[in-house]
Amino acid sequence: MMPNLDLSAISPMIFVAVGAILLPLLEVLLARMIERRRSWLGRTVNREMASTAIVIFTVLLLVLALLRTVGTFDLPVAHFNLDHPMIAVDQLTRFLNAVLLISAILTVLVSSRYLADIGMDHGEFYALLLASLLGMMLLGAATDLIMLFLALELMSIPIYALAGFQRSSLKSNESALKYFIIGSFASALLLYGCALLYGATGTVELAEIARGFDPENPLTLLGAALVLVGFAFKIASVPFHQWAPDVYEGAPTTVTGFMATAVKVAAFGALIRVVAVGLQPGAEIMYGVFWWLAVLSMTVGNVMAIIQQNTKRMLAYSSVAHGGYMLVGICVGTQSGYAGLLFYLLVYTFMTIGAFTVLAILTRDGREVSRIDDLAGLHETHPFAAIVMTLCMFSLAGIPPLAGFWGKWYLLTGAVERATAIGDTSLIVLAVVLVMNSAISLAYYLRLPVVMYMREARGADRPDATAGALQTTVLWVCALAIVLIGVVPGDFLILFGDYDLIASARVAASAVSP
Amino acid sequence: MTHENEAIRLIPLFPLAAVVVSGLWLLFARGSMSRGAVIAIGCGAPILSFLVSLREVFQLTRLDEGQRFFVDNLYTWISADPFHAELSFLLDPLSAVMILVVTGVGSLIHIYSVGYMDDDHREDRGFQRFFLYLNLFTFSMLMLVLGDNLLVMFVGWEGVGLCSYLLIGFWYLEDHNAMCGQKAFLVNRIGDFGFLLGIFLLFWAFASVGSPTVEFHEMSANVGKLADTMVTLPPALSFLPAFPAWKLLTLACLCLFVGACGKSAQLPLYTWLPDAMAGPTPVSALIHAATMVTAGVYMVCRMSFAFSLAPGASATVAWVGGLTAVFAATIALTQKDIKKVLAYSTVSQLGYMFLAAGSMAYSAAVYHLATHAFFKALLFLGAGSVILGMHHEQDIDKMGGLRRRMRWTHRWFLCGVLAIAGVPFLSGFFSKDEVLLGAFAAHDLPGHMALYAIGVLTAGLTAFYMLRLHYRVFAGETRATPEVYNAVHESNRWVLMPLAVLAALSVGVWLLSPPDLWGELLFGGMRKSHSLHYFLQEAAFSAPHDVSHATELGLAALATLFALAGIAAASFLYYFKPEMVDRLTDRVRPVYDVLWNKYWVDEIYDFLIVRPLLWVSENVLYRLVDADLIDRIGVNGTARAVRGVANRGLKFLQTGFTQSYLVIMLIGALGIIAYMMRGAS
Amino acid sequence: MAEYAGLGLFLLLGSGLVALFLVLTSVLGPKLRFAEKQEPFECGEHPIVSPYQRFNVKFYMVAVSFIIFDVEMVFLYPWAVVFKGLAWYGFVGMLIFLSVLTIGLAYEWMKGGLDWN
Repeated sequence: MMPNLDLSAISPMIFVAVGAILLPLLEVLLARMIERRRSWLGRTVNREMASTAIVIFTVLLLVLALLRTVGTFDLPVAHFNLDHPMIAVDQLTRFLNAVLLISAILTVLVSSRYLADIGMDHGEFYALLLASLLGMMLLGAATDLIMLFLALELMSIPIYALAGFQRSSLKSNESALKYFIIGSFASALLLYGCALLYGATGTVELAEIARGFDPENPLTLLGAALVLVGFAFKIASVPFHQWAPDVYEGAPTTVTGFMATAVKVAAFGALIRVVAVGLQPGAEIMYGVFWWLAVLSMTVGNVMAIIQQNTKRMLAYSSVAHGGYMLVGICVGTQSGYAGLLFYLLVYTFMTIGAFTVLAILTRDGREVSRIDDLAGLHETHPFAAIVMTLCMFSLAGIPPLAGFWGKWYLLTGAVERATAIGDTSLIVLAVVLVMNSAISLAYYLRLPVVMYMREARGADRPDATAGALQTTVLWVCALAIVLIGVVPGDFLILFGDYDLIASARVAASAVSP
Repeated sequence: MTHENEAIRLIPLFPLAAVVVSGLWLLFARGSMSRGAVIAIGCGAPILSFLVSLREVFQLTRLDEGQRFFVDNLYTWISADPFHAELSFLLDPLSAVMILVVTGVGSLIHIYSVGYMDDDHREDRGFQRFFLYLNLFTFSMLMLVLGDNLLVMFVGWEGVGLCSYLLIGFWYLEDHNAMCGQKAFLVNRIGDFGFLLGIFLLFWAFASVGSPTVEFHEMSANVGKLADTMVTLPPALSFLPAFPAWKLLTLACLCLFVGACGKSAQLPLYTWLPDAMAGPTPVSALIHAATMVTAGVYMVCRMSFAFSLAPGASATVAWVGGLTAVFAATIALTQKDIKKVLAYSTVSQLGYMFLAAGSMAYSAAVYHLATHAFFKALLFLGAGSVILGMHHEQDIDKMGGLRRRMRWTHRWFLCGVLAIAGVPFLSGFFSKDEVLLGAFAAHDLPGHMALYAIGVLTAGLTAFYMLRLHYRVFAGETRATPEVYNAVHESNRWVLMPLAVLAALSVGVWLLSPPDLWGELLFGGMRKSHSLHYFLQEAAFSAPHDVSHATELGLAALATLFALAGIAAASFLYYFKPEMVDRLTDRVRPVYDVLWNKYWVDEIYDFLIVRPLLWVSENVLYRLVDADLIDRIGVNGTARAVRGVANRGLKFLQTGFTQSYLVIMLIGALGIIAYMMRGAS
Repeated sequence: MAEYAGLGLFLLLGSGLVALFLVLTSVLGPKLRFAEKQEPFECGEHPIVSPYQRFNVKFYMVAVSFIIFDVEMVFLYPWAVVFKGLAWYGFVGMLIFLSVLTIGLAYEWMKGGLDWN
């Protein structure tokens, strides 16, 4: 009768959950202290002290979770529920969690100043962020469909709220509403897919679904297709991408950065698990779907990015295109494909957060830099921000020796290896499309450095903003990561060399005790 | 006895650290560092390097003969089996001499720059920027000379080229300076192309005999295997008649030498050096006289193991050097810009060094390189002091009589003049004798006696134009307007102190390592091992000569005679009878015009190469190929096509309405479902 | 059939009691009649207006709070049924669940979400 639970397995998630629950309380308590002019350590509590306290608390929890995650990286698979596989903590989960936590930490560090700049300095922001993060961490770890769906919703709903966090801004409201409506639609499809899979196989456990998967049963196939649609929405791949530019543009900049990175990381993590374990018997049928999604996402994303005038919209399409690159790893479907994909996720997180951080820094009193042309002469007014932005753009474009280059490199070598191993030319075509798209992407990635360095600052419509110390720290972290990973990429890939991701995911999905 | 020595890396590290600190500051901070900080960082770095160099070179001399080298291996730079290139440094006698010159003279010039650049207010952060470039140069130059293989050397080689470009155009607000910088850079590219070709050729050749390497020691050990390899052409090129008869090493060495010609301003690639004088004077002294321009000589000496097996290439080196020496010396006779005279003199002296290197008297080349670094740096710095005193006047026709207003500058400058003129028992005398002796003794060199004669003649010409310069600037009555003349002032201590040190070195540096003959004559039983010649044998082997002491003394006397004749003629014309100059000039007007116009080489190049190239670039490459084919059709065409697709097709779908997004999603979902359910039963 | 007799009795008793209360209140209660009281009950809103008009956001707050505690009830019932079997584990688990909800309630309260004005 008593469930057999292992709480230590999910300790990082517990840290995050505790934060998500306690932060609203902390916020109101601090607000009350401010209201009543209470003093603490001899100083009257004011808004800045309150938000500092909240940020410190949040970052502390996240760092603890990160340390715990990294510290236990090498341990064998751990299950939360020892009777029934629902949350599996294997190397895949731990790596995803580490990347997610890094993304969250960086976002929090940038946000404290940014929120003050847009006049939205409320502690609820961090609570929502942590709640969403918890969902993401669980999503990557979910080994049954119910957990998967719950985690997906836990991830999505706070993100909807975060997108609309800037209540006074119409764009932010539009962003939240669109995201919510389309997101609900996608969730509904995914849930329907889960239901069909359950109906066809009689189980919600991924490992059992794989056993009962009948590639000729229309019910199974319909279910799988709908699940894929749900994921395709989350990773914003064409043709399920159209919300992305509108939502990215309207959402507060730091939320956009978080959305662009963490949601992708979590969704791809879960997708790996679903594809490599649950739907594995249907791999051949799904291959075509992924192939087309990848090609369309890369091409449409890059082509549309070229004509954008708004920086955030441009980065949104760029993120669609990067989703396409990452899908190549799913198409490859081998250890090296998945490892390349995971490596790409890590790299992508730093590049994208770096770029959005620069945009966040340039925000002041609710005014932000929207058009690309408004970045003109940035190297004069914000030399360091301009350097980091340039690094991020070069890395996103995949120029060696920066991290982004190696990301693409591993995806490409994975594809080519696999293609030569099984003699499949369609993978080669995919690799060629990837390379061609990288070339196209140069057109808009290089535009930013050109504008920043070769145009005069005069005439640029840009608020007079300065970077906070924490924001500068984030810039440094991103820049160093891009360069360092670029210099020693092997060390990061070797992380996965010791672990057979697919096998480990399969083991993780199976029940531990019979 | 271990040859690992991790202290070597410190030598280039100090200037690099200075560059990084200063560069980061310039990038991120507004305004410049305080003057004191700039001086401390800017001058401290080369001085520290110099001290480390001194210590390490001293350690080197204490090693056993024949085993004198230190290696400092930082890490494997390129690892592409079977080819490996290490980022490592090699300190052997040859690089020892070079680093002492680079860091020693470099330090003095850094100090001098404090005084010289002090009034550089043309730009807010110019002072700091200047020291940043100087240190970047010092770092690159040290990479060049310490590099353990051709690749590291090439990195330094390109680095010094870049710094040269940056520093020539340092006062970039004036178009002329920027253009001069570009000219230097472009002419050097021609040379660099040859150098790269040479590296590739050598690598390929060594790979073909089973040791794919560009590392000096390994190449030196394996070069014997290549001694008789002939150039083999692919069948498609067999119609070229000449090449099959060539030795591979000859071809490779010639390619390398093209690089050396560019960097060391030899015929026909010398034209950039006189124009490089547009840079600040300390730059001219450091880069365009003492160090960078000698990189070509250094490279030939470093590759002496290959050159000595390629007599054809060596002969070319010697003849190009000899001809350049006399050619540039004649031009220097007539020039009126104080720095231009010195520039042509530098070209001429570099020719001397190549003459020695081509005669396989590598130690003589390096010897002359070192002494030349001292006295030419001294001359340039002295000229800089004059230019400062004259408020940036460089025309010697508007000088004269400065002796009385710039006493110390005059004295130190005279030391340099006498040293380069070859007055006995000053350093120039000894090194020049070594060079001439090398040419005289090189029996295998075709026309070595002619080259010797050219060398002696050049010695006379050198003495003449240097004394002319000295008299025109310092002696007699002034030709400057009284206001200008009265405003002339002696330079400050920052400027004079390095001058004094360099003057002392120009006079007496030979005492540290006299040539064999003079060591024996003057110091009796002095051990041969103290001579530079002997010290350098391991690193740059010089052919032994069979010239007797009596002959050697005779040769020295002959060269001295020519030098004294030059001095006498100059003294007569420009000191005792200045009124005769104009008459004499008129008498030899055609010759004078040719020399004054520098043989019209610049104009010929302009007509033959520059203009046709510009025409082709403008009309064919730019208008036709670039603008029409590539831009309009290739780049813009595809870009327009992409934009067209995006604008007309895809943008149309991105309506901004949630409803339409949902419709498209639904269509996508149906597509996926239909695709997946194909196989359903 | 006999076993269903109790059910029928329960049905009769229940509906009779409800009918009795309704009749009693309508007979005994004081009556005030005016226009607003004649309208159908619609949570304080006018029932016949354009459906697109805005109405007070506070309704959402109440609705959301209601749903939260409604769902809490849904959890509590099955929990209560198996409570014995779960023992301390069930007790602590439910305590955590309830405290999370309580924190939410406290937050809402302190934020002023429960004040109608």
